[in-house]
Amino acid sequence: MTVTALPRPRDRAPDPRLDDPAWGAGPLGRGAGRRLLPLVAVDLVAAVWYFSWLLRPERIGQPVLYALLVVAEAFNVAQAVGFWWTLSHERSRPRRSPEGRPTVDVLVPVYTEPVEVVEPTLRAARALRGAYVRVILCDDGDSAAMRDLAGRVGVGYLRRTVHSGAKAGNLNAALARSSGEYVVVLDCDHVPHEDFLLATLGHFRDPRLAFVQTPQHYANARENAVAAASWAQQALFFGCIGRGKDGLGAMFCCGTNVVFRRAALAAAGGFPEDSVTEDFLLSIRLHEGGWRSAYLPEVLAQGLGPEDMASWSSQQLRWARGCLSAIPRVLTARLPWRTRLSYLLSATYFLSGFTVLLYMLLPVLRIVTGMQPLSSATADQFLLHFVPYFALALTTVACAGGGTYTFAAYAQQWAGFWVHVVSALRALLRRPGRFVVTPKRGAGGWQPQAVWPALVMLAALVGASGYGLVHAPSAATLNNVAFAGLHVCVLVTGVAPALRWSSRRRGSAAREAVGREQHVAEGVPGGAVVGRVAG
Amino acid sequence: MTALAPDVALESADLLARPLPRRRLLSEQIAVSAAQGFAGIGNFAFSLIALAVLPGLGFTHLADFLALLLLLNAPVGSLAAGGAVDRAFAGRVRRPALATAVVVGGGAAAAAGVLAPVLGLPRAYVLLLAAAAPGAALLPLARGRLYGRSDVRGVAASLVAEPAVRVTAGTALAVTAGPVAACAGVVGAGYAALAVTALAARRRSAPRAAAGQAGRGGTTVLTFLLLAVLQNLDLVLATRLLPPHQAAVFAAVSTVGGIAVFATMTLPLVLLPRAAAGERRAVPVAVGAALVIGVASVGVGALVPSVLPDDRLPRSLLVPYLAAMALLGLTRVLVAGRCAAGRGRAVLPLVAAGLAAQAALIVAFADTAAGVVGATLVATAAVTAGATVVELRRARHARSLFASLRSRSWALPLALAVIVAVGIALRLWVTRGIWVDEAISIREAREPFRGMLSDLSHTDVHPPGYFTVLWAWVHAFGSGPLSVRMPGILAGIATIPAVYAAGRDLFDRRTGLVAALFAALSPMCVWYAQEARPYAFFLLFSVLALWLQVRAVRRGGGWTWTGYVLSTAALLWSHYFALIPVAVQQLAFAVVIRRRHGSERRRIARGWAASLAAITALMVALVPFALHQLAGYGHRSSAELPAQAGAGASPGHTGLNVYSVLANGIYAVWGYHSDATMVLITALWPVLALLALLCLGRGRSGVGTLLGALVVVPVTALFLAGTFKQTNLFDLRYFIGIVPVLLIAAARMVTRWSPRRSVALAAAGLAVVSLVAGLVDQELNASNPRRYDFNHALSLVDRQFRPGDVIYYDPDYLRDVVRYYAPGRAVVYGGARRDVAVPAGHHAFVVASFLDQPGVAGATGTLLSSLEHHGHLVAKHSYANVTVWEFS
Repeated sequence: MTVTALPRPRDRAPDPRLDDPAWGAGPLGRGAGRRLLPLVAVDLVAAVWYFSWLLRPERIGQPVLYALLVVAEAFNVAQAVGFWWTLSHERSRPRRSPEGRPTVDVLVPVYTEPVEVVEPTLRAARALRGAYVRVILCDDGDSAAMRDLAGRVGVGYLRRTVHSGAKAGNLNAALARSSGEYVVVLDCDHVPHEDFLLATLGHFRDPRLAFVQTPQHYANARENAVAAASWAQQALFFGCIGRGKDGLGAMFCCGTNVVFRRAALAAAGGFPEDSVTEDFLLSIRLHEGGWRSAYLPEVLAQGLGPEDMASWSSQQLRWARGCLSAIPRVLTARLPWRTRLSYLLSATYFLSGFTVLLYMLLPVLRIVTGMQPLSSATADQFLLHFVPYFALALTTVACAGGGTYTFAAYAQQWAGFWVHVVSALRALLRRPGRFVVTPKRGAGGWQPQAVWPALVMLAALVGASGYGLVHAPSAATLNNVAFAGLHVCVLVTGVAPALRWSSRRRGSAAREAVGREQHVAEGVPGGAVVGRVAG
Repeated sequence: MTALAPDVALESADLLARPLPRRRLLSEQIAVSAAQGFAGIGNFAFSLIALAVLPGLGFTHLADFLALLLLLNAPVGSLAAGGAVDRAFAGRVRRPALATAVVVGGGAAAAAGVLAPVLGLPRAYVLLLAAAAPGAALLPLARGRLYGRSDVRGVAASLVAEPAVRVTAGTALAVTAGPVAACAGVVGAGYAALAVTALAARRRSAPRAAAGQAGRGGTTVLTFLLLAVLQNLDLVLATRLLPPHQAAVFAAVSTVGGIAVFATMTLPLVLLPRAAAGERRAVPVAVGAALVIGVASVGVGALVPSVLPDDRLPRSLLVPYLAAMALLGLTRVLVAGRCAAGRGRAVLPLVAAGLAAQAALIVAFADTAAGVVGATLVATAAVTAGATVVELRRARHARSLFASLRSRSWALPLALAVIVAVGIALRLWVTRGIWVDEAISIREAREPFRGMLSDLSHTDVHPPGYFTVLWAWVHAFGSGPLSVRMPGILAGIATIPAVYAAGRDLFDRRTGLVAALFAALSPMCVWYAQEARPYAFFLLFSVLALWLQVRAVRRGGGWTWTGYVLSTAALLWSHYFALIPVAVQQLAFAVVIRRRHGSERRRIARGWAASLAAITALMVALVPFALHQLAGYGHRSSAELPAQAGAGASPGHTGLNVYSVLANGIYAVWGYHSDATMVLITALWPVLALLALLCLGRGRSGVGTLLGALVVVPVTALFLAGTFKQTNLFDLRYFIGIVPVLLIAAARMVTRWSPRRSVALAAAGLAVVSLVAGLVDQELNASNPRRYDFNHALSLVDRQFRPGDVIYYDPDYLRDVVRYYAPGRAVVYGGARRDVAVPAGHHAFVVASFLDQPGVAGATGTLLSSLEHHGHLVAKHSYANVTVWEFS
């Protein structure tokens, strides 16, 4: 009897990090960056067209709201122009093989992650080609299992007696005990490709090059909605923005998948231990010291992204807190103006939560109190001036991102407005942030507490809409209800993953590790705990 | 397990093992339908004979008696469905039914003295009704048993017996003994049918094949009872709610229109036992039969000359009502399929919801016979669509609706057929009269062919393609309101499968089907299908050109390229502005050729070159005609050109602006609405921002770019042309080709909205609800600014016109529509004349429209002043966008 085999779907590795990446960070074809320039030029014209209308004195409605609106729009347009400026400097580096066979220390910091998450990373690190590689497992969790793992895989194992400085302290301790010419930092869930060093080390022929950053790629984006949305945000950064920053000479280190020149690290005094975003601060110091950075737009390591809203919020809170705290440092640093501006754009991006909050409050205020920021502005005029700016900006994002930036990503960012607001306030008050995260056992399920500020906003929008429709059902009210509806749709999409009663997911052990990794990054043990953002 | 007798169970199992051939199932349906047809003809013949032989009052009493008998039979008839699906049902219900009927009949007989004046009948008729009650209860039960046994002969004999006795004995009694005896003959005919049915049931040779399923009878009866109410509720409500004249019109429409559902009455009953026995082909056969009978009924209603004058039985109402009843017939079949499968409870809420919707629509909107017809049509269409979805879900059992469409089963043709049937019904539901532009078309089409072409080239702005078809149609079928619209209606109907084909080939079957549903319900597609102007052709050939272009690029057979050439040429011969989408498509060819390589590139390039040459050749004859028109257009005053109210932009806005783009976008999807409604809808523009955001990350494709260009380029081009030309070129009519493109894009968005099918279905449902709401408001809201009620205005004038009277009209371009509705009357262009007077001893009528235009309003005011100076105003009548003044 003849048995005909049915065609099988493409074989998938049991661990998604071992699959081929589904995304390339390079530009979409030759000259893709240049093709965007005309669009950027039209964007600028549209922005001027809009602001020339918005800033006329007769537009002033309720003065305070008008002022806030102008500030918010100015902030957004500054960010947009900065984005377009970055796009206009896109540079796509090719791989560059090393000359000779240098020595490389691969540092893998861990805290309490499961062995099965770390093991593939260590094995892949050991298999790196193109250099004399020494892999060091930097265990801040004092875990016997980790020590056994290091012995089993055949990598170095380091354990500190004093656990200070969180991840930066852990890495500095390893730096002191190692001597390779180059240092690779890999988060414990990021599995490197065997060509990682072959593709990156050649760039160090430039003697003033401090580090080569490569993209972070969330291999679990195909399986989890939160990770997918989170990845879509990352894809924009590690795609066109990363390439643009490289062109501007202002790419900063992102904490993992990065190769440092040891001499540069030493000159900067190692990883700064006084910031939750040690990578960002380190990059400033290196650029300040005259070192250069490079970005290689090729996925050479794959990790796991946050899979629930609590983890995502925690991650965003840490990034926002760290970057916002670094703004004064950026302003005072001795940096070339282009580099400084690029850093400033990245750091101030985390203020955008205030603009989102304002945009959501405006229809509520209009419906409930009648106050509105603009006057003498018919919808027709507003649309005539705003639509080109909005539509072109959106088109530019869509084109620049090569279609990777999704509505879900936008909604997740929008629904996380409060993360930015809280971070900014804590940074302003110089207070360490604390917020409760969900125990990892509940990951992916019912987590309303992880998005409660968005839920409050949602209730306000729905309540105001209902009130308006009952009390003053006019076209003006309907217009503001439609605005509120727009925000509601975006918010609902953003918070939906936190409100699902979902069953346990596949490969939960690996995914749970991600959450723990987030807590490790915050310097706090994982589990049913509170994440400390600073300190 | 069902409690079946062993022999029956064995037979059922045998039947399941060997499915009956389709031909046999069809022959059963045909035989019983033929008997039903005979019954209908027999009863109709009896009425005609009675009309001839009985005195006036006697016939009135007989007619009232028959109506009451029908009212008695309609709900009781549902019992037959119970017996058909569940053979034990008749046995269980017979005694209580008989007891109830005896009590009711006895009570009616005892109270005959009281009931007679209430019913407006002599006591003898009430007593006869009471006598008929037991038979009326037993006959459906007995027939149900025959249906349940699939005893075709028995059923046919039962159906034929009643009219046979009614015609013979009833007629004899009517002639010899008068109307009461004739009614007695009618009652006797019922009992004769009962006797024949009982005899048939006792036959030993009778088949016992398709036994029903126990326990399904109750739900089935209840469901069919609700359907019977759905069938008759409109008449009950219309009688109570409408003014007498409108109620009488609706009664006539309902009586004649009921033929469509009467003709399909037996289909579900024959189907029930077969489907209950697991006969899979039974439902498709019955659906096919219902569709054929339904379409035939509508066709007969549309084309066969009416025996009654149009004001008593308006064809514009009869045809959509026939369509509604045909849909109801189809629904009964689909519902029977569900009941037979033991899923009657799944459709019961659906029918109840349809019933509630019908009642709500009639109460809320229907103040004319047309409104009641529309409400019934919408309700029946909705129930039919719902029943189809339910049936399709069953088709693949555990799989979902869309999954079933992937297969090559009958589910897809059925779904498409139902969508087209709904589309036909909606297009035949014409709620407005002829307006100015249509009257011009009709006047031109009535001329000799050469005269029409000459007229077109001198006075019109459209190519002659559509007008040639209209000319042929008018000369073949006349120029009645429905007739002149038939070319557009047919094109509108053909647009639905064309949209399906385009959606399927551009994306997939699922998208095609949803797009076809959207097209069937699209207010704009319906509106322009019902207008005797070229826009329905514009719509149809736009879709065909798009579809065939995609096929030509992908497969490229000779027939496909030929089809593309012909559809594009037809498009250009239908409307000059079609040049814009055609140009976009040509550009798309160029882009495709640039991106392809090797033999594929050569194949497409060759096809493109040949098609372009052929299209150019087909356009050669049009060029001198167009140039002549262009020269004439340049010399024409803008005052000669009618402009529709609300054509420019939203109220409060003059000239072209963003709002006019928004308004036309809303028109394109949700149809024409009152100014107040448009203000509210346009206020919802932030929803567009949401749609834009939703497009993020959706990817980009060649097809998507083509669809986008087919929308953006015509809109932009005509917006700019309208801005610079200062004429009203930016009107959806002139770029109506974007409508099917938008519908296909919307269908794609809905079906790909979410990987979760429930979300996709909810989105599709929401879209359908919004389209239906838009359609109902467009068709029934008298404030629709595009509605010009010349029909009622001029009908009034025509009725009151006496020789020696005169009709003034203003502006000048009302000439054709006034002459259409008031043929042979003395009509004079009023203009701004100051020297007019009412003829002595006669009346003068002033018919004016477009009074929102200052020039027209001023001229009409001058005319009215003059008439008021020389006579006095008797009455002023206001209709939608038309005003009539009567002076004496």
